[in-house]
Amino acid sequence: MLSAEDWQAVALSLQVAMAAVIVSFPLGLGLAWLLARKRFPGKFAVETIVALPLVLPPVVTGYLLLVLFGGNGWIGHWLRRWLGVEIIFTWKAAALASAVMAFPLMVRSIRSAIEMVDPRLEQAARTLGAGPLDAFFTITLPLARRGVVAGCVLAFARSIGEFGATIMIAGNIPGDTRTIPLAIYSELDSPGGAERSTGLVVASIAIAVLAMVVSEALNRGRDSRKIAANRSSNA
Amino acid sequence: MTQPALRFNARHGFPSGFTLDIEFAADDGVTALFGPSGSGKTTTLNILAGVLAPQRAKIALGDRVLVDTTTHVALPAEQRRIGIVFQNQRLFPHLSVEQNLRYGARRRPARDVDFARVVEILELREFLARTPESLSGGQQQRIALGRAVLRGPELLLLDEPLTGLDSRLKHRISDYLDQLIFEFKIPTLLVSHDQADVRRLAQQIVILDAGRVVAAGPTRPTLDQAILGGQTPAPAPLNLVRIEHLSVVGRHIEGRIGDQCFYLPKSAIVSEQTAFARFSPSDVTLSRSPIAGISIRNQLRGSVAEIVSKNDSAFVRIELGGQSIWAEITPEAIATLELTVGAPAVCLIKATAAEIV
Amino acid sequence: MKSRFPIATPFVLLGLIATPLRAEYTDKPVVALVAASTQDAVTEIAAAFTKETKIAVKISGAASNTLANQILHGAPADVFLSASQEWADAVDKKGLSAKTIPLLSNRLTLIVAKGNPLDIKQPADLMAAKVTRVVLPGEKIPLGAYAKQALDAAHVYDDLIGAKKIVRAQDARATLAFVERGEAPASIGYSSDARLSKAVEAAYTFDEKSHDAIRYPLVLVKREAMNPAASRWFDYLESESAAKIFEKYGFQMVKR
Repeated sequence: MLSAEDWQAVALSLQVAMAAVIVSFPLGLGLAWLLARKRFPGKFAVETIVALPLVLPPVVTGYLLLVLFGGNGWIGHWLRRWLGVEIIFTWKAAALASAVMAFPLMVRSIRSAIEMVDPRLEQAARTLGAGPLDAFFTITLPLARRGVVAGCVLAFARSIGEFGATIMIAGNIPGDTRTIPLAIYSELDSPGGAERSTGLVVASIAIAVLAMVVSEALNRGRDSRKIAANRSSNA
Repeated sequence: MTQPALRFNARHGFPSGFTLDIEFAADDGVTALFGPSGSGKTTTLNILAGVLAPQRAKIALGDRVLVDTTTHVALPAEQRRIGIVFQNQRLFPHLSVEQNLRYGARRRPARDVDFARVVEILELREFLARTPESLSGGQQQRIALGRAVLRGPELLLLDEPLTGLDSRLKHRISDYLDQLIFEFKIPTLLVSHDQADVRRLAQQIVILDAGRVVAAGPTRPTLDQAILGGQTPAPAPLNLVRIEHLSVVGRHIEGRIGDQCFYLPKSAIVSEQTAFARFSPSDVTLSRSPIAGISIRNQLRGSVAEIVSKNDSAFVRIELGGQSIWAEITPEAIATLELTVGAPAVCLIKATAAEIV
Repeated sequence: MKSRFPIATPFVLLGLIATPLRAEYTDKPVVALVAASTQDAVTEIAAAFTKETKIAVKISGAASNTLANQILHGAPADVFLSASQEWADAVDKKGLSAKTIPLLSNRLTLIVAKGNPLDIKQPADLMAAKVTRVVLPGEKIPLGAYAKQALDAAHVYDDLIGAKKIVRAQDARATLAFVERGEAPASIGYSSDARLSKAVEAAYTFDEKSHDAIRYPLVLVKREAMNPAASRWFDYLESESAAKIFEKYGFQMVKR
C-alpha cells in the first residue's frame, strides 16, 4: 500500500515528531510548572504567547519562524555565522515547526496535570530535606505523569499532522523534509495522486491511534501493577 | 545545649487585618502551642515550615539562624531541619510506605535515626510494601510521624496530631509519640487546640490568642491559670490524671493513682498498663472525709492546694500523689466545708464520668 | 524500585529510526524551489540531470508565494521556478536574482467533468441555467487574476458575478478539486492542470491574447557563496531534453 517514498515520509514524520517532542519537552515542562505554580508579572503575556500557535494560522506561525530562523533572521543569522548551522530546508526545521505548533497542547496538558498535584505534598517534601528540583522530580512529576504523558502524546500526534508551518520553513524536499502531510499535498499535484495518498492518510491515522494506545497502556500497566501489589499485601 | 532549642519571634500582618505578633522559646521536651482556631497557630507553623515568609522575624534553632529579616536570612524549608507531621499527613501516594519513611532519611538528614528502630516503635513492619492509600487514618498518622522522625530533625513539629482520631487511636499514637520523643530526644513543638492532648503530651506550653502570646510556662499551672483567669475561651480546666497498673477486675477496670485505687468503666478497655483518665471538674464532688454508703466508687484523698473563683463558681485544686484534680463547687460549699489551702479533702468521682484517653 | 519516568521510553525509538538515506555525490546538491504544479515535471528532469552530471538536486514544491518568502528571508535556495511573475519580481527587487528568464508558459482552459455532460463549448455557455456554479480562485491568486481577464474579454465575468455563480477556491488545485468531485460543473484552470485528474477534461482553451501572458520565470538566486552546480542546473532546465519533459506535462517553453 505504501511506496518507498511513502515509507520515507512516514519514517521522517516519526523522526520529526519525536525530535519535536524531545526538544520541546524540557521547556514545556518548565513552563508548565511556572504557569501552574508561580505568580509573576507578565504571566498573562507569557500564557498568550504560548497559546498563539493554537490560534494563528499555521502559515503565519511558519512565516514568523522563517523571519526569525531564515538566513536574514536574527536567530538564523546567528546560527549560521557562529555555529555554521543552517536549519531552513532541513528536517530540523520541520521539527522546530512541529515543536512550536504542538507546544501549546503540551504545555496545557502538563500544566493542568501539575495543577492537580496538591502543593502541600511538595511542601512536605521540602520539609523532609528535598530541594525545589528534587521535590519536583520525585513528587510533582510522578504524580502528574498521566498528564505529562498525555501532553507528549498529544504533541506527538499534532506534530505528525503539521503542515502549514513546516512547508514554510522546512520546504517540501523528498527524503529531507517531506513528511506525511507534505507528501499528501505533493501527491495532489500529480495525476492520480489523490488516490495514491490514501495509504499515507491511513498511515497517519495508524500512528495517531498507536500513540494513544501506547500512552494508555503505559498508564494502565502502571496502575494495575500498583493495585496488584496492594491486593497481595492485603491478603 | 545552653540555648533554648527554638527561639521564635515574628510579626506578620495579613490583608484581612489579622496580625500575628508573638515571641516564645521552646526547649528540649515537648512544648505545646495552644489556642483556639484563629489564634495564630497555623500562621506560626507556616512561618516555621518556610511556607510563609514573615514580614519581620528572628527565628533560631539551636545556634542556627533560620530566619532573620534584618539581615535578609531565610533558610529554605529543606535546610531548616524541622520535621513536620502535618494535620492531614500529606503522605506521598505514589510511594510505598517504606519509600515514604525513607524520603527524608535519604536527603541529608540532620542526624542518623535508626530506621529499624522507628519501624519497630511505630509497628509499621507489615505495612512497608503497601501504599499509604490502602491504610487507615491511624496507620497513616504513624507513617507521617515516622517519616518526620527519620528525617533526623532538630525540631519536631506536630500539627494537631491527635485531632480526628478516636480515643483508642489517640491513646496509641500518644504512646508512640512519647516513646519516639523519649528515645530520640527530639525537641518537639505540639500545635493543638485540645486541652487533653496538650496536658497529656506537653511539659511546657505557649498559649496563644488572637495572634498574641497570653501565657507561657509549665503546662499544668500555666494552662490552669490562663483558663481560670479567662485568658482563653476554654470554660474550665480539664482533669487529666495518669492511672497506672491497670487491670480488668470483674466488670470494671481498676488502676492506681499513687497508692489509691481508681475505678473506670469497662467499656473504655485498653491493653496498656498505663493510661490517662479525663473528666470535668463539675464531675468532681468534694468532702472532708471518705463517705460510706454511697454509690460513688472513686474516693481519692488529697489536700487543697489552690482555690480560685471564676464567675459564680469556685475551682478547688486537690493535690494527690503528685497529680492535681480540679473540682468545681459553689462558693457556699467552700464556706460550709471550711476548705482552706492545706486542708485535707476527698474527691468523689463517679467511675462513669471518667474516660480513658 | 522501577524507574518512575515512563515518558522517556518511547523516545528511545528515535534512535532506531535512521536519518533518511541520501545518495552520495561529490558536488554540493542544488536546492531548487519550484511551484507545486511543476514539481512532477521538474522531478523527472532532475533525474535525467543527475544521471548525466552526478549532481544531486533537492526539489521543494510549494506555492510560489511561500517559495519567494523563503528566499526573501535568506533560505539557502539556488534556483526558483515561480508560477507567477509577481513573486519572481519580488525576489529580483531585493537583489536576490543573479539571472531571471521566462522559462515556461501555460494556457488557460475551461475545465469540466470528463465527457463534458453539460456540453460547455465556450465561455458564453457558462451563463446557461444548467451551469449552476463556476469555480475560480480569488483575484489575488494568479489563476484568479488571469481568469477574470479572460472572462472579461469574453464579456461574461460581470454576468457570472451578477448571477452569483462564482465560487472561490483557495488555489488552483482546490479549484480543480471542485469539478473533480462533482461539486461544480465547471472551473477555470491551467492546461497543465487537466491531466491531474481522470475525472476532468479541458473543454475550451482561452485565446492567449485574452489575458496577461502566463509565465513561469526561472530565477538563479544570488547567494553569498554561489553553488557552481546551480547554473549548470539552471541551463539544463532550458535545454531541449528538459523542454520535452515539460511539454509532456502540459507546459509550453517560452520561445526566445
